[in-house]
Amino acid sequence: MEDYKEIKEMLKPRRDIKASEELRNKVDSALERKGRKQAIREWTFGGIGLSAVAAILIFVLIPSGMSATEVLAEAIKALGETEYIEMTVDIRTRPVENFGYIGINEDFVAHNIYIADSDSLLKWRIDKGERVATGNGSDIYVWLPSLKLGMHLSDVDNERVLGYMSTLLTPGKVLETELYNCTSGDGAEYMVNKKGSEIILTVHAAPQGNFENPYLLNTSISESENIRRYVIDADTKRLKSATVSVISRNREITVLDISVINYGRRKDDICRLADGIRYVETENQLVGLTGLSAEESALIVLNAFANWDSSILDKVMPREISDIAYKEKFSGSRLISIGRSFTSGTGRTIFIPYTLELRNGSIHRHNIALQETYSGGWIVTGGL
Amino acid sequence: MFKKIRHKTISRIIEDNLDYLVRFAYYRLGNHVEAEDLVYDAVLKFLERDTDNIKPESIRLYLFRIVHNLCQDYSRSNKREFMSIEDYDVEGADDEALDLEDADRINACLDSLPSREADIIRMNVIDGLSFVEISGILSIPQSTAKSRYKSGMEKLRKLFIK
Repeated sequence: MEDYKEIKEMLKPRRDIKASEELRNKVDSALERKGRKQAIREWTFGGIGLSAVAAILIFVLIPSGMSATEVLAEAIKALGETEYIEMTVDIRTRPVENFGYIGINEDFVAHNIYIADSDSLLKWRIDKGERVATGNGSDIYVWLPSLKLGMHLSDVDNERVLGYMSTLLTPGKVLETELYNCTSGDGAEYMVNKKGSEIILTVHAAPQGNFENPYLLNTSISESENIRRYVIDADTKRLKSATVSVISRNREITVLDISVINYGRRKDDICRLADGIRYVETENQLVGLTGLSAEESALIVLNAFANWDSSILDKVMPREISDIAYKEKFSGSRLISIGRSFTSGTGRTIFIPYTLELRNGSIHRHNIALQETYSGGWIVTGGL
Repeated sequence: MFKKIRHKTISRIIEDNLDYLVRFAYYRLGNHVEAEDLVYDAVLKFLERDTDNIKPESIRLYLFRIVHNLCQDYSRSNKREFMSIEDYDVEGADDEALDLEDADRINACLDSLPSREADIIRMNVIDGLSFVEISGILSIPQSTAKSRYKSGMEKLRKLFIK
């Protein structure tokens, strides 16, 4: 898109409008009141369970002569000068799944990550064999080589496409995120320790989201109680390695291990797209099914599989994707039952359990995932 | 524990965005006191909601959406009356007058555009919102937001840039 530099300059505010102290105090008081109400609710309804979790979360800060903030600020400074980073990250996941997905019972899948210009806007590439993504700061391409199918997204945060993986795009960002948490205190606990020539930073975080229904618990880093350990070279302040473990049933399970990091000069074009892939443009958003509840929408979508009714399915899934990924499997299927909707975790996704009899007579049970667009339509985002 | 963490996250995001929200409201209302009152109302409205199901990364968007809607309600019910410099006979009046002058300068440029184009340019250039955020606040596709932006910018270029 054109820059319109002169017009932007003309419209640029010359004055810095800021919130007054009075407003800040009023907002603080409102937040405090809300916090107190919440605490009372937790005490009344969740006291016993929550205190058990709190006991696990106790951490001791071992003095090392440096605060977490100081360690991270030093490390960020060092990484800001790096031009090119290659790392290998082993993650418990599935090769074809979304980058944000983890599973404590899955095998490790190697992710090769290539990063250029690690200090600000960056070019990057993540390749886990059956799913590859690349971004250049404004455009992101994700593709599945086996299906010869990809997506092009613009103006989308890396985090939305990659989940926690986005924080690995640059070790600088990992540390920046932790620094932000350190200084603003999001409830995670921190420990800094020095061992020989290494500084070890440990972050212990609770799962983010609502897990009254635990369907999504431990399916992503943020939706799990996790411990993140960073090993930083005390001299260069460069990140040497990192691991993330999930706590499940009082057991610590390593789900992510940055085993190799190499710093060097930029090599080939890391944003190069694979040949022979059909890239679907996602600029035009799906309309979705409007004026219906999530359950009603799910019913209509699942029934539309019988005759593969494109007039319905094209509203809820990009045709290029549904044709290649789902049509063969689901066309001609018969909806046997549909359950009550539920939500889980941090997402605004609504899940609806269903049972289909596929064309070949086999039974398929899953939870269809729907999201409401900003214009109020329901679209399918997974669970097929 | 988890709710406590979430509450801290929400508090942090609100506090971090307070300046931006006030600026957003000020350039639409042209009055500091009213802009701050409106932002405070927006925060209260946000806190009244069931915030448990709002993803942390969407909180900023929700806040801007509420402020935007309140600004629109305000504009429908109150037509802004311009104040003269002499009216600012209080402490900080100089700053207030300069702020208003700046807002008027910008609004005068944008007033030449259809409001739907001016809104998007104001959000992108003055409020620093991305097209993803703008499409979320206005409930329109990104492509529409971009085409209105482009159309408005072209008109401004013809009008003001020789």
